[in-house]
Amino acid sequence: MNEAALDVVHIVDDDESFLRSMARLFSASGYRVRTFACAEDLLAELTPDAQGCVVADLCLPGKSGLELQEALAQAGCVMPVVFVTGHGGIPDSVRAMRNGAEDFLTKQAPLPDLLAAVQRALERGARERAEHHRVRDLCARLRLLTNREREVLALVVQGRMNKEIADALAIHERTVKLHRTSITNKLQVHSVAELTRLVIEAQAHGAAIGGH
Amino acid sequence: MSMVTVLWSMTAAASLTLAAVYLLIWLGARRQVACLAFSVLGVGIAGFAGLELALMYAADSAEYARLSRWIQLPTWLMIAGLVFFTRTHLKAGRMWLGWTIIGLRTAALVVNFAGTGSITFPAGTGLREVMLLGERVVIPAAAWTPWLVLLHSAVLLLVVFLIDASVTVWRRGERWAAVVVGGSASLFALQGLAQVLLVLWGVLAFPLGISFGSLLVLMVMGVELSQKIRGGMEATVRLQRAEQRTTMAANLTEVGFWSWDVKHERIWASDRARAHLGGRDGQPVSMRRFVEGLRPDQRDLVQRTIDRARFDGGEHQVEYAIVDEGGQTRWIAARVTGDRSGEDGVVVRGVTMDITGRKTADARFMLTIEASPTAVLLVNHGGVIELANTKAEALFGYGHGELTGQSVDVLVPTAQRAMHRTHRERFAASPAARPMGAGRELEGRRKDGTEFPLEAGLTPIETGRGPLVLCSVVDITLRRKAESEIAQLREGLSHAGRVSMMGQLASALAHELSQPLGAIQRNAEAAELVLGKSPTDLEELRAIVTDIQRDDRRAGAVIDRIRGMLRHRQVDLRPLRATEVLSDAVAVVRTYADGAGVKLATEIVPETLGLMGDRIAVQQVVLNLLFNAIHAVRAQPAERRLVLVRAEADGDGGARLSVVDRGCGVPPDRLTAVFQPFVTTKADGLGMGLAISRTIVEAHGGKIWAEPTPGGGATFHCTLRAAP
Repeated sequence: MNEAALDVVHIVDDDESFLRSMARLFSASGYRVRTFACAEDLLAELTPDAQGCVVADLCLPGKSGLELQEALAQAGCVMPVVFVTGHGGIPDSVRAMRNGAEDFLTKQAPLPDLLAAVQRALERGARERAEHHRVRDLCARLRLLTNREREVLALVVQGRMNKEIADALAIHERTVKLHRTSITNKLQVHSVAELTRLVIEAQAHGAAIGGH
Repeated sequence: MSMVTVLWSMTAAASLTLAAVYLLIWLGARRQVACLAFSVLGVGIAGFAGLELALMYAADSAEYARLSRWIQLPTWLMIAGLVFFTRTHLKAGRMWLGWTIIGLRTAALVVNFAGTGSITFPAGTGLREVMLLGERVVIPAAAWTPWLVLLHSAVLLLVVFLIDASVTVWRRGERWAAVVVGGSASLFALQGLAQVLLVLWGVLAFPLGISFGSLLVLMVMGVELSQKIRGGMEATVRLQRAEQRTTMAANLTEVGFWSWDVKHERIWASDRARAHLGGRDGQPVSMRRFVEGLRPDQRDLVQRTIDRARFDGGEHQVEYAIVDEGGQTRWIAARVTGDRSGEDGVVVRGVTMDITGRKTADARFMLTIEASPTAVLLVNHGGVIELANTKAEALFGYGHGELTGQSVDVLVPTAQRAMHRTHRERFAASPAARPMGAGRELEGRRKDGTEFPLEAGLTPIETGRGPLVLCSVVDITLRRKAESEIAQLREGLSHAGRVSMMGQLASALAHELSQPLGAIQRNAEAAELVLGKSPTDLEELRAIVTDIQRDDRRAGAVIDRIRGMLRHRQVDLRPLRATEVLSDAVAVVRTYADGAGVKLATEIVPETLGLMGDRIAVQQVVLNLLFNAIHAVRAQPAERRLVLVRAEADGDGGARLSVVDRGCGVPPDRLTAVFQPFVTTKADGLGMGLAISRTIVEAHGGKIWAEPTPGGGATFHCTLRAAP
């Protein structure tokens, strides 16, 4: 399935004419486009599975472009932002880039630069989405484990021998082996190295593995 | 004892008693000479009465003659005494007459005693017996000698003298004294004379009885005299009481009074004066001790002052220091006068006051002046500097003490001296604390003649030396410099503010323009893509074109608004001086030029050239052109880093301003384009400066254009209307 086909370029600008021209341009360039006159409209219609990127002006009525960027991040939206603005000083651009914008352009920037920025944004968005999925999937899988299995996993990842695990948990070594098999099956992971990486990633994304 | 004896003896005794009493009085008060005269008269009368008694009981002519001889003496005393009494008590009677009388009688007296007999009773004259008060007494028979003429003419003259004196006293207004004394004495003398003559001529058979009358007259005179003496005593009592009151008053105040009777070497001093003269309790005050007790450096001055008062009279002042009983030094101010109006030589009087407090205050005041951080001068109302503190001397470049005593005008520049004098007099007339020279620029003149700006404040004060003016002076050279620097900076700042405002304006407009321009660009790009597709979406293209047109109009409207805004600012045409406009602008960019190593030059032909224009707007244009020019040459080698700004009359009733630079210049095909908005050769420029300048110049009815400078570079000209 070509996920890219589902990418939508979300354009936010309060100037009607400029908004229309941008929409035309991107449509003609082969992108799916949605237009919004202000940041609030975009945030209102934002769905969790929204994919694509955002092209926004800095000066917007209500929330500014930078505030929109922050709001999107807070909402957990993985759509990168490209800023296209009529004027902009160094402070604004630095702040935008620091907050993770893909690019910062003037309204009269050359077309190739604009298209390239959008393309990068979409690709980055896709990458991050994929990553996001993977982690989500990973956490889901971890949730399949029972408490005891989680405890065992934690000790396995520390590099303990089965015997040590059995002693630590006050169970038979044989039970430990049984657990390990179950873990392997549920997580679909076959080496300890992979297991370890998985756990670390999951922890990085806030999943609780259990125990200490 | 016979009645006659008793009476005559009583007369003699009474006269003698009165004479003695008054002699004693005279001895106690030598000034009252009238008492002596009275005493003489009294003695004379006593002697005469005694001898008169003896004459009446004379046994024979020889004894009578002998007694007559001696009676001349008391008679002489009586007459002399009367004359002198009249002179000294009544202060009347012609002296020459008096001397004549005495002279005659003295002559007679001499003759009398030179011979052996009595001049009134020639030898051989007989005696007669008469009855007086039951007694048998003797009187001389009628006889006549030539000496009688002498004697009695003297008495006659005496009568005249006495009458004349009485008249004088009467005329003086002392009616009582005239009548009583003069009148009775005259009458009696007359009567006596008549009696004597008549007895001697044998007409009257009565002994010479002038004694009683004389006694009566003596008593009357005695009463008169006693009244005068009593008056004198009362006067003395009053004087004493007055002195007491004065002393009391003096002691109540801080003031001391003293009075020095030089002739009699008596000093009266109130208690306070006693202390002020350095006297100690118990010790009598003396001038000599006082002067000797003074400090050596003050003795001369004090002594001189007292001497001047004593010998020249008049009032003199002096200040001196004494050490009081507690060992403290006190300063005393004394006013000394010499009073020569009295009869007894000169009386030196003094009034003293303790001025220690004032002196200390004065000293403290002087210290304060000296300690002041500013220059302070004390000037009297005559314009003479009484004191200048060290700072004042240093400020005006004088040495220590050189300013004291000089006129304050030496500190004022020569040109302003007359006016300064006038102001000084006005100030002295109505002194009030105020800054000097309100509203005027004041200048001071140093000893070496240089002048400097200053600020002065004037305060009138009363000191121990009279009214003075306290003048504090501050050198404001640095302040003036700082003020002018601040003014320049402020001017520059406001200029810069205006320039930056222009920049901000331009920036805001740029943003507004970027919307339609951005839209146009994107639409055009979109159109290109649409055209590349097949089939070509003509509807889409049409929509695009419409949008482009609309946006183009939008952009135009924004620019029109800019123009309108600039034009709408009421261009206030006023006559300006080209020198001012250019020099102000040059002052603002000077820092920028210096920083870039660029030299600026100005040319104004003619120097008086005037323009009609809005000062701020015209300056903006000049500033813009200057900034551009400096920016253009800053990368050039040193000899080309020169910007010239020129203003000249263009012969057409207009003024042309030109800014010439030798920078990289403007390409010939861009010479008009540079005046359009957003056209700039600067990497960080907005491209609005020249556009705005053009708007301003055209609003003034002028033109602005650019030309290449011969030899490389650009020259920007603009024309404005010249001021008439």
